[in-house]
Amino acid sequence: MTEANPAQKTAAATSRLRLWRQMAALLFLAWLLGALYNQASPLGLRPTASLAAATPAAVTAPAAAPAAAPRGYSNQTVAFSLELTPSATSAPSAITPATPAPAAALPYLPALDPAFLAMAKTNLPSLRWTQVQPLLQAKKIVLLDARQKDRYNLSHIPGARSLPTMSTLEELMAFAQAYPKDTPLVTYCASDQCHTSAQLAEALIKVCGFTNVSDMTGGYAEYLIAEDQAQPAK
Amino acid sequence: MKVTIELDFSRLVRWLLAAVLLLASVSKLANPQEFYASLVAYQLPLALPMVRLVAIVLPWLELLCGVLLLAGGTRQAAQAWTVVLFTSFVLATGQAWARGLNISCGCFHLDFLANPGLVKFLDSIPFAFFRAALLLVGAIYLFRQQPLRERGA
Repeated sequence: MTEANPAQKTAAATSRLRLWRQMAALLFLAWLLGALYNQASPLGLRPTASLAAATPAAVTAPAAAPAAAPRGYSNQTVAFSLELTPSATSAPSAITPATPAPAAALPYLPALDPAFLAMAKTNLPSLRWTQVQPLLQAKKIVLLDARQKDRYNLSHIPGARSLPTMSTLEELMAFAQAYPKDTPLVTYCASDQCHTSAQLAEALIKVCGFTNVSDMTGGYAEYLIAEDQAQPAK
Repeated sequence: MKVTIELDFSRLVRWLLAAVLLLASVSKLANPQEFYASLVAYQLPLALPMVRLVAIVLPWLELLCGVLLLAGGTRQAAQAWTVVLFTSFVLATGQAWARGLNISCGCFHLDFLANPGLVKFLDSIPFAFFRAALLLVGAIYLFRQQPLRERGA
């Protein structure tokens, strides 16, 4: 083997240093683009958000009989127009808007308007997995997976039923006809970063006339984390 | 006119890696929250803010590497990152497989495929592990094509 002379060693070291610099620059550029993209996108991730930081809204357990114990929802849900669907005209009468509803005429599934999504997220009763789990085990709620069907097929919370947000109106109404309007429903999607469960919840209220709908805002990710923490260390 | 097509194996590998990275990045950028959930499902020993940071940076790093592998420029840096990326994919899918996690790999969004069984297979952790391992071999081969003193040029 031939020994590399000092000049070759210096050149190799310089090249190595340049490679590291370029790699660092690439990483920084990826971080910058990612931060900008996610900040600009209504569906983007926020670096500062966390599951723990998501404060659940004050809500009574959905297991409580809806008729006997009025839930926070009836006073909070104000954004839902009730005149959209002829088949849903009778049920929503129990919902009492506390503040003026926005001029409605929304499609049966809302557009991805950030302001609207934020409102839907705020006004919906928010539940954590720790609240949902006992109710699900006691079969006191119907848990709805709002993610796409293929995601549900791969894995989902045991006991959850798939009802993707992008379901057709026929699918939505078929679901609605299978349950009484006061059935406690809880929706979830992928994580606290998604909005599709709130959209589904809104559609269930506005279109189907369900009166007892909550959103598990931590989503499937919160369930996975809780299950992971619950398992004994191997 | 005589046209000669030179079969350049390293170029084919480079294009394959670029195509995989570009497809993966676009899938993740289109569904950031799904990708974040997929990452959480791996149950990696990382704090959630770190997982979120990875979910923010990784798709763009894949995109940049894919473009640079195709276009040139700082290609050596892209090749080095490609090795790092596929090494981490092998480790992540390998640990998930070893732990028996029944999760989606979160690598691609394959909704355009009509066959749910095929989607489930392509998205499965064992398949993702072998795919990442094979692509890692290609990435290492590509990276070692040039001697170190020429890297970074």
